[in-house]
Amino acid sequence: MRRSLPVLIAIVVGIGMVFDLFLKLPLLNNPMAEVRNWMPIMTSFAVIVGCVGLLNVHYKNIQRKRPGWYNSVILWAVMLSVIALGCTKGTRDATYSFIFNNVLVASSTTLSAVGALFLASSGFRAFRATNTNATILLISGALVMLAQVPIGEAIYGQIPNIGNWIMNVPNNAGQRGIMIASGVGFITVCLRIMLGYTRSYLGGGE
Amino acid sequence: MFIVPRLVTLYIMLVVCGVIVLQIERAKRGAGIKIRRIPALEAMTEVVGRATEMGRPVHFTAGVGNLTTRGAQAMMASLEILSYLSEMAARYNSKIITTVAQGDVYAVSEEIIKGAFIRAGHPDAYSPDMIRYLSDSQFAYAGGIAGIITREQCVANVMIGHFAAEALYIAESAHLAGAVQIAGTTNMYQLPYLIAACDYVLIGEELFAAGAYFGKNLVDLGALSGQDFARLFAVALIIIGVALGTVGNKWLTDFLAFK
Repeated sequence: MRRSLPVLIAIVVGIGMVFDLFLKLPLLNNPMAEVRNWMPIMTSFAVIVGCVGLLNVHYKNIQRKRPGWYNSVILWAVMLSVIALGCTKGTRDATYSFIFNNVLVASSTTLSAVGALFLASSGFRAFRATNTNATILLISGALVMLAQVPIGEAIYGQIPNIGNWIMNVPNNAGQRGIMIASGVGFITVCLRIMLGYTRSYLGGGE
Repeated sequence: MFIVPRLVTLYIMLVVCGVIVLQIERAKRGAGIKIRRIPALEAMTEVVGRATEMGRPVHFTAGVGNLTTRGAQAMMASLEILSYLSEMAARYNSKIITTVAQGDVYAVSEEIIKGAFIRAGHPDAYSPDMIRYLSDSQFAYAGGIAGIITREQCVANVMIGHFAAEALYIAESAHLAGAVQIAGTTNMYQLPYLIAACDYVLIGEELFAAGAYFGKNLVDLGALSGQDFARLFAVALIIIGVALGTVGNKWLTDFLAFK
């Protein structure tokens, strides 16, 4: 029962969702719309499970005095204070907003900016002309980059057109090929769930 | 009752599903289905072996997707890989650290890893701190992963699932920490970054082959073979569409358009 009921729910809801797209039938459309509304609610509740797990891992770090355990103390203190603040004063409170904007937003923006440096370092490794494929990648990458800046056109007037052609024709064709192939893969995953073959979403493997 | 303009999509979907089910049944009846070598999946055994030799952990992340909306199919395929990877880690007596960004993925990952250690016959080696929920904010999550990989000196970073802008940050941090990297995603915008930064990459549909590759069970092999037939059907439609389009006939394009 512990495994068969969730599988049955997945099969019924899965088939219902598919036919909801093709049928105009209030008896089916209304419950499926309701199920779609539940999704964000369930996801929000699942965050609580995650937070409890996180606090548990860090509690053990503190209890066993693992290296860097004091960081876990900071995490506990900060997490509980922000949750308490949010629950008592709401998320529009000035202090809450200050913490959000000056800690989370600022650090996220910083990490996002670091991505530009990482782009250069990973690009440097990928663009080394070690074989034919890497050489083609290097040449096409260089042409696309030159097409985006005025100096490209100054070097040779057709570079912007060549860059656009690389992006619109071979690049687009390759991307669409991967998308179509992935789409068939998506259908297979859904089909295997609806037929009850895949049960990995229940945990514990098949 | 049926929304008539969408019937073509329904018929095509039924054809694709029919082919897949047919191939699953053929595989069950013993049709010999072979699977090509996928280097990224082969490398998994190698990294787990290396982790055992060096006594250092393997890190796994399924990315920022969840099981309901954001990249759900890729997440499902990714969790299947987690199941095999953790079972392999349990058998070889290596440590695995799984970081997650979503609560639902956390709950399922915990069950998957626990189940894998039980199947491998080492339930006592399982520890709840193998699964760590970090944050559902993408860069906070990426920062947390970078810290864990560096502090715990992970020998390998397996990042397979749904990734967004944080993908490159995770991959480059792991590279700087000297970890071997196996990546895979269906997100077209992140694939080039992963290809540039990682040692092995599962591109697009290769992500869905893991179950058949590791498990070698007949249903998975049949489903994989069915997918190939469905792709051949797509290729045939593309060729006919291109031929008709070249002579100025847009009938097939209009016929297949989702309304």
